[in-house]
Amino acid sequence: MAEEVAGPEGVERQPGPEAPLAVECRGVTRRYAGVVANDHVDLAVREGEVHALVGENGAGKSTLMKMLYGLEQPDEGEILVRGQPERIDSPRKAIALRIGMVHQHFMLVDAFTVAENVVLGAEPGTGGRLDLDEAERRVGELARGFGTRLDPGDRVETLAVGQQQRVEILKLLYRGADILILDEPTAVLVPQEVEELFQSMRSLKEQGKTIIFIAHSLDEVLAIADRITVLRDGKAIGTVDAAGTTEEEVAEMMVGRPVLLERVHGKTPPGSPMLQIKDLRVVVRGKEQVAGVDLEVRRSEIYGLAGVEGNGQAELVEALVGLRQPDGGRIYLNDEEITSASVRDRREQGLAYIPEDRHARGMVLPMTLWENGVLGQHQRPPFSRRGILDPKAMRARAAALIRDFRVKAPSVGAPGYALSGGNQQKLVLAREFASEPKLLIAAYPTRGLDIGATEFVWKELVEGRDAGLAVLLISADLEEILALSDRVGVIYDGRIATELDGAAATMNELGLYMTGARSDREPAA
Amino acid sequence: MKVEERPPAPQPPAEVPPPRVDWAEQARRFGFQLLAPFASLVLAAILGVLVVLVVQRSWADVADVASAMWDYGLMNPSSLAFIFGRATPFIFAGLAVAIGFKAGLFNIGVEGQYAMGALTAAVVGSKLSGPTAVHLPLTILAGMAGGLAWALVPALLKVYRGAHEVISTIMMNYLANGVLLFLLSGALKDPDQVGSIAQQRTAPVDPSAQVGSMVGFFNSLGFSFRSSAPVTWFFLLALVAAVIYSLTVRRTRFGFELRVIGTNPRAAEPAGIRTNAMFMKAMLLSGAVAGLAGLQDVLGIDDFMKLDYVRGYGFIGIAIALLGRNSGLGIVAAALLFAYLDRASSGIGLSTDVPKEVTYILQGVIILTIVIAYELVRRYLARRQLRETHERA
Repeated sequence: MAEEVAGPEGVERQPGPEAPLAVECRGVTRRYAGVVANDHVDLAVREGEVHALVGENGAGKSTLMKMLYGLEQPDEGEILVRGQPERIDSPRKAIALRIGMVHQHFMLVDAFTVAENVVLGAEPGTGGRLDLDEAERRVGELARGFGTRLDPGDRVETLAVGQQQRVEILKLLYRGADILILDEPTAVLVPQEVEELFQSMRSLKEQGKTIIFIAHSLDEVLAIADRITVLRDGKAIGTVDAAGTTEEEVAEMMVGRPVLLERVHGKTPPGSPMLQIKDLRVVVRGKEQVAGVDLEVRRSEIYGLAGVEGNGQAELVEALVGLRQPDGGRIYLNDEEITSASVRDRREQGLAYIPEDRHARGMVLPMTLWENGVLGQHQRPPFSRRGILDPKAMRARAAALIRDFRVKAPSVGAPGYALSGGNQQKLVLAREFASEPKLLIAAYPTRGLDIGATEFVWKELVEGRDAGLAVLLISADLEEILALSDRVGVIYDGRIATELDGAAATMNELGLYMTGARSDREPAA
Repeated sequence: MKVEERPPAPQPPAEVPPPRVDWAEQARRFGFQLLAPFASLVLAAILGVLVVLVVQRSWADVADVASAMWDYGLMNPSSLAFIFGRATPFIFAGLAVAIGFKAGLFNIGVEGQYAMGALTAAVVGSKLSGPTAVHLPLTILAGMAGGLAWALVPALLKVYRGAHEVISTIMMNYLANGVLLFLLSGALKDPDQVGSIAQQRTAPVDPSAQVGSMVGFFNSLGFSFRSSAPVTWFFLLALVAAVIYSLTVRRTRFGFELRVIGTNPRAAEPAGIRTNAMFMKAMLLSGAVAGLAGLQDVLGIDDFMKLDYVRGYGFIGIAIALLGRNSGLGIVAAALLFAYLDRASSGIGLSTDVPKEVTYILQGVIILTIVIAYELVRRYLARRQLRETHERA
């Protein structure tokens, strides 16, 4: 898989073992109330290299980076910057040490121009007067320096996500940073943008900058990093050369056992249509977010809906689940029209829903697991009869969910917030599967999950499919879409831009449709 | 992209222990729940002593206050009757507020709702007559309907226009006040009330809609309440209401859905719960229960509604719901505590030189300390839970 995303390689200089260290952590330990987030972590980042930091959720990557950037302080151990022990007690200090960090969530002022955003807080000019021309000149120079086509006069809100990320990097360069920390920079990008980001990273490297890169996707890590450090359970498991390792090896280091995340064939061929969507339209604040979607999901089929977020997926899902009344078109579930049925009626007819945001939509975190375990099914026997609940049946169900899906939970009486994010997701998934659905709408079911949990969720989806379930899988993760889907649809600007065979589609092809560069449909009037 | 059959993923051994009810943990949690009110009472007592010392600058007055609170407040033969009678409207008001809280609604309008309930009950009680078995339930239902009607406007405004219930219920309180003044000094004024001591009040409630005193019942149990002590069968009704409330919240689908929309309405919708319908039902139920709060005064003690009727039950109800943590048992306990403090303040006024306002200060201090103590316990429990989860994980 790595070959597909990676660009041409081999001409780059790679700092050898003799290269001086830009950053070194020696035995760094950070504890939170009872939890050891970093347990005597050693990390050595050479000057001028791209160093990837990988690990499952909660492995301690973010904590380590926060300590480098001065947002947290180590309880034990020391941090050396360019060979000197330093106490980095604030981001201000980190910036003084020429360390900069791009957070996952950008911190930009939308209404300001690129130049204004970049110089914000360190504006050129004298005596309170802002010299915008000077700012634009300097920012333009910096931008050209790392091969990006950014107009310093453009307003940030008009930029694509990838370009906004470039602005964040420019902010660091403007402040003179030469050690750059990028926190999961590819999570928000489509494949083409990832490639552009990697080009920028390569040109930064050529200028001698050091980049520490927290990553999610292993093929990306192998494509761009020189060396990879793996964290697991707060410990540094080891550092390997990217050139001498494989995706499987790194995944095994991360999880502690062999992991297989590969495409799985359906055992049963898809059957008759379970979900039919005809010319569906949803208008939100005057904009047609879903602009005539026709789509069909069959029994024993996983239909993957790929797309950059904000292209109508959220509104489509809401209309399907019954959270939003569509403004046109029809929806059929198992040949019965459900276009304006209530959520409860749809659920009674066999619809199950894994919401995009499990905290907000999937669980009631202060309520107990046995109550959360029947949410959405609490209206039916055995959990309630004639309006009276049966806590015994509810507890038994929750216990079964926890056992079958290996949810790590203190007890069925514990509140939802006692579970980690991955375990919350597992509980939601377990609950929705337990409703014996005919159609499962799974929105970003593995977002934020680590490899082990992702593997588990994939397996459950595939098993459900093989047992006759129709699955509509909405995801921005193309690897997931390609690994699971029998058919893939790409949604762009509220329309299905194309439908492809899941086994034949490629990432680059999907990426072209996702960015609107290609479409099988007539352009919108 | 590799396309191949995937071998079964290696399964880690099933190490999840079978979940069970951990009674020791439940008992510990319950112990912490009790710790908070206890700690806050101790703290409030200390602050109360300080308040008396600051105001009076004498340890003798502290002793006087303490003995008045003990002797008159609790040990007088009729003390309990006064406390039960006083607690009755507090329980209804506390339950009304708690129903709102459970659904995530802040019903500040209990004050206006019980006043309107008392008015409609007074009208139905005085204008109609008939056998008690029909007239009394009808009058009580009228009281609930009055409270419900006053909650209807904020409920509609919230569901259809998104108006925040805090604002609209406060406005409805002002309206209720105005309506009461207008009607009691005009259309509903008892024409028989004349002369220099004339009260602005409704005609008396027909005996068929009056609720009897509970003194006889208590005295048959061995108490020796004096016959005029203000405790009526509404006290029993209040206790029954608290039990029904507890069961409803914990054991019914309605209560479950109430808690879901009250805690996370965004999770309610995908679960097939109609949030707006639930908000509507919760607000109306809250109003109907609020309508019961004023009935003891009108049907059991005064037998009429007078112009200076408004008693502040609605605001005390908020404090009681908070203090009782929205649980039926807690609300009854909190209502009894507030009733006791009222009784004790009369004792302080009668037998000491200390202004009885000191007990009002004490009430305020108790609410504040309770809120603080609960928050501390809640944070402690959450932290412990988190730690345990991490240890097990």
